[in-house]
Amino acid sequence: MIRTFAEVDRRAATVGKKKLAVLAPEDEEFLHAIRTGRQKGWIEPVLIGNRDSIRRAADRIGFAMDGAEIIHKLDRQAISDLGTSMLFAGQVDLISKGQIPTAFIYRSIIREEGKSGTGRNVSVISLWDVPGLNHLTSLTDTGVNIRPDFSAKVKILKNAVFLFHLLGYERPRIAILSAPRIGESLHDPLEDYEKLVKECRRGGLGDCEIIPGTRFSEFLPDKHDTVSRGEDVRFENFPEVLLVPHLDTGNILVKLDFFLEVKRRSLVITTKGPVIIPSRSDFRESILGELALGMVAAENLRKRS
Amino acid sequence: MIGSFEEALEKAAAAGPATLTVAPLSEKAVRTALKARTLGLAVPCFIGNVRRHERLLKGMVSPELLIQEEDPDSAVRKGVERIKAGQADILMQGDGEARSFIQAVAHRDHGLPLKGPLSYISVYALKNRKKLILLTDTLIHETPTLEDKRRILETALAFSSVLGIASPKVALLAAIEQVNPGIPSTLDAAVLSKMSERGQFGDAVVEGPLDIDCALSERAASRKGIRSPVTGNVDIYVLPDLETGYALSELLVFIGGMPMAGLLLGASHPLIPEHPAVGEEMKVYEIALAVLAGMKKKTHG
Repeated sequence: MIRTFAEVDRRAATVGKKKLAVLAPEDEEFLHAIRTGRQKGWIEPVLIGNRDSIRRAADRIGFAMDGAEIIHKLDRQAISDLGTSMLFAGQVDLISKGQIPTAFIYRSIIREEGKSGTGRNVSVISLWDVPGLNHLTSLTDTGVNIRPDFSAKVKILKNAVFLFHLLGYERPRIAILSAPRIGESLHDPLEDYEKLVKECRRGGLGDCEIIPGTRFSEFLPDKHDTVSRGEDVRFENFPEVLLVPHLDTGNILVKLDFFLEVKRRSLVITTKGPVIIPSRSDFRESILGELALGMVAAENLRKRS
Repeated sequence: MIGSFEEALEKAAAAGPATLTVAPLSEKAVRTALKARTLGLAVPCFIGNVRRHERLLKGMVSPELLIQEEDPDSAVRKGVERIKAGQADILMQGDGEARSFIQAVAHRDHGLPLKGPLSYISVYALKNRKKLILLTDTLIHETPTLEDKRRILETALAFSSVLGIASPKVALLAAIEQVNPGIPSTLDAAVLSKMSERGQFGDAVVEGPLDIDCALSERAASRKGIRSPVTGNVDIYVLPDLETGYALSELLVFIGGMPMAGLLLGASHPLIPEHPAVGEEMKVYEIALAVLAGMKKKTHG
């Protein structure tokens, strides 16, 4: 079981070189990460996109790219489709987004999953390495589904459980986040929670467990007093997966790594391998960290199949 | 400018004691109110099951400030009546869920007069700088409308002025920093920030939509092409909806290790509901913040 990002990085260095398709790597921060990944012997990149733009960006950072495979394509959807089909055909171990809107990639993945008949959808899992917590935790979906309904939430959780299984967690714990309602409400905040608990018991989410409660104050009872005394929280029975109610919440919570002492690495996991989706505000260190996470997930998926 | 909870407490104590009503009672609330009295923050009155808390209250409070009322809803109602009668400045909930307390104080017939929609402000002290930050609304509005957000923002701005924050910097948070017709929170934020540009929020600098990385980090913002005095230096975070506001307010406490104090504003007087993320040590700061919020009311009618 992988408990920290430091452990992810150590594993990444031992899993052997992975073939990585990069979709439109036309940005310096991104090419920096590719260069470092290559220098470390982690990856063999296949760069798909506008050859001239890629070369220009590489020149700006003095990256010679000797021998790196470049597939010249201009159309964004075609770039994304090609990379994704290579992943599903087993020609690459993982793919990464460069300067291309994620919507193109999500479309490509949905098509490929559809062709394979897996019934999966696309969702983003953002892992957090939190000081004081002795395992990884995560927020999901932080990137795709704007207002997921019950059936979308089932698929989102399946993806998260699948990823945690790949990281060696046999029975990840899930919390379904929802705020209490003070006034009249359009939604029963516990409705999806109760249905998901049933679905989980039926085994419809994979091997996992949904913990009782829908708020941090419920699954970390009494810890508010610990915090207000200025003491460190000792996490007990903290979930590996936090399902956020909708995308605004996910997007806002997950980027608290800009503020708190937590570290974040996000990923899309498909049935055929990981997709790394660095945000436009990510810097090279964080891109490299996500690459390491993807490599470890890819390796464990390879071992399984 | 008040940069810490301790400073808020000093300033509130210096302003002289306010009258505080606690209803219904919990041990934590009774201890807190007595502590507030010792610190010179408040003169407390207790409404609830006084007998159950006799051990703490005996000999500490004069009998006319102890009102036995076992029914929690009636206790809150009596507390509201004391405020309406001018006998109390602040109402604090002890026992029970925030929901029942808030419904009672906002009751159409028996509640307090409202200045606008109620909103809850979560207050935190930054760890690395001497600065308080405000998050709102983190408890009341499930999906606030543009008009709700305007009022919520105005309430927060009025509160920030009692904290001495000059030209407060406001981040209107949304999922993304671009205005997207498909995402209502980005549209509301764009309108509010335009209103601010036209001086409709006084000297506040209101920026939005901002995603949270742009709000928190100047470096992240400039990478996305946003240059604003707000990025990396926010005083007030306005949340797009309840799910986000509530989860964020708790996450800062439980994962961030940042103690929270909260106030319910928008009624004629400041209110302190019981919040599961507020620890006992923070309750006395809530009273201090309520004292300061009430002072503003006195000076500006």
